[in-house]
Amino acid sequence: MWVYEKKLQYPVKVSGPNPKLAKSIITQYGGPDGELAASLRYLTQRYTMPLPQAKAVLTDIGTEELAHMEIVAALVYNLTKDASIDQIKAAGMEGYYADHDKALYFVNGDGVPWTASYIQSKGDPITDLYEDMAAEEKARSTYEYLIQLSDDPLATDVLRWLRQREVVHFQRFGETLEQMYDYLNRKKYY
Amino acid sequence: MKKRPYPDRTLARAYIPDQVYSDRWGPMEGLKKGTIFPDLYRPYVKGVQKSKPESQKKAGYQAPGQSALGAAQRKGLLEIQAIEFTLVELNLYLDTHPNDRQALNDYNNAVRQLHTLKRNYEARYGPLANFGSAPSKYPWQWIEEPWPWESNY
Repeated sequence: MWVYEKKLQYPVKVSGPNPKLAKSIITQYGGPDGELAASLRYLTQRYTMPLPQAKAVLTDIGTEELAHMEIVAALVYNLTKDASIDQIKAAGMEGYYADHDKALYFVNGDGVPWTASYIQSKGDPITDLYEDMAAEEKARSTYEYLIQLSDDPLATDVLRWLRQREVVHFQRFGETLEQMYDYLNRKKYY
Repeated sequence: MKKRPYPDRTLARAYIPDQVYSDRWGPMEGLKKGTIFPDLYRPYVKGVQKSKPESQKKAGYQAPGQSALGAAQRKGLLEIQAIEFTLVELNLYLDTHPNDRQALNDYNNAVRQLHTLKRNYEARYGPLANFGSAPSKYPWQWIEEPWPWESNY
């Protein structure tokens, strides 16, 4: 079961309204390589993992990704909450605004809604762990692109922080992969 | 028959070296960096631009009429965030290194520290988590603002 702690894992501050930046950052909320995808992927894969450390790693990182989802939401929320209609229009955010006002919704930067097709839970533990390592790299790259796009140093600081977490997660999934290979002791390699 | 250049490795699979428990940053520095392990620190350099030193960072803005945490409460929360982040890092490390005694020792020490910090914080400001982390004063404190996504939390 889950418990919620009323604090962000890392503090979020922004310099001012910036719906243009928010429109890009939202991909890490509801996009293909975002935190929702990451957390659901890991939390759903954990049920069929044969090793206790794999169940633990997927549960713990899946939980941490929910905390990151909250940080991304805080960024988008703070970048849009005081934006004027003119700023919304200048950012090309009218479409989103018409459907959601300034509420948070699970889409990517172009308004494509989240789908379970973004994730896989294949059952084969080796396959699932490679999927997880790839997911961490995709997230890392996305944060790098967002850092390139960002014109707010306070927002950039948070993006850098989230990017660093992906590096650590990749290492943990990699270690779990090694241990899974040892455990399964396969003779055939594909 | 040609000898394989890496006799201890096989084709068609990836290898990830195991992390060895060595240097660690303290809780505050670890929190700022995004990891407590210098071995896993990979800063991103956008062109030649490096991140600004702390003194140049602007303070976040605050919309008028929005509630904010007082300085003392924010400081208390930051201390908890820092220790808890160290615990997240140690927890993840221990998941793949369950027999590392030193890491386990560090984890348990940090747990005691965290519980003390939380006990003091919750006594002053109310529950940090739902469903029973701490008792509440009257009226029900859990609903109090600001919530974490509200600016300057």
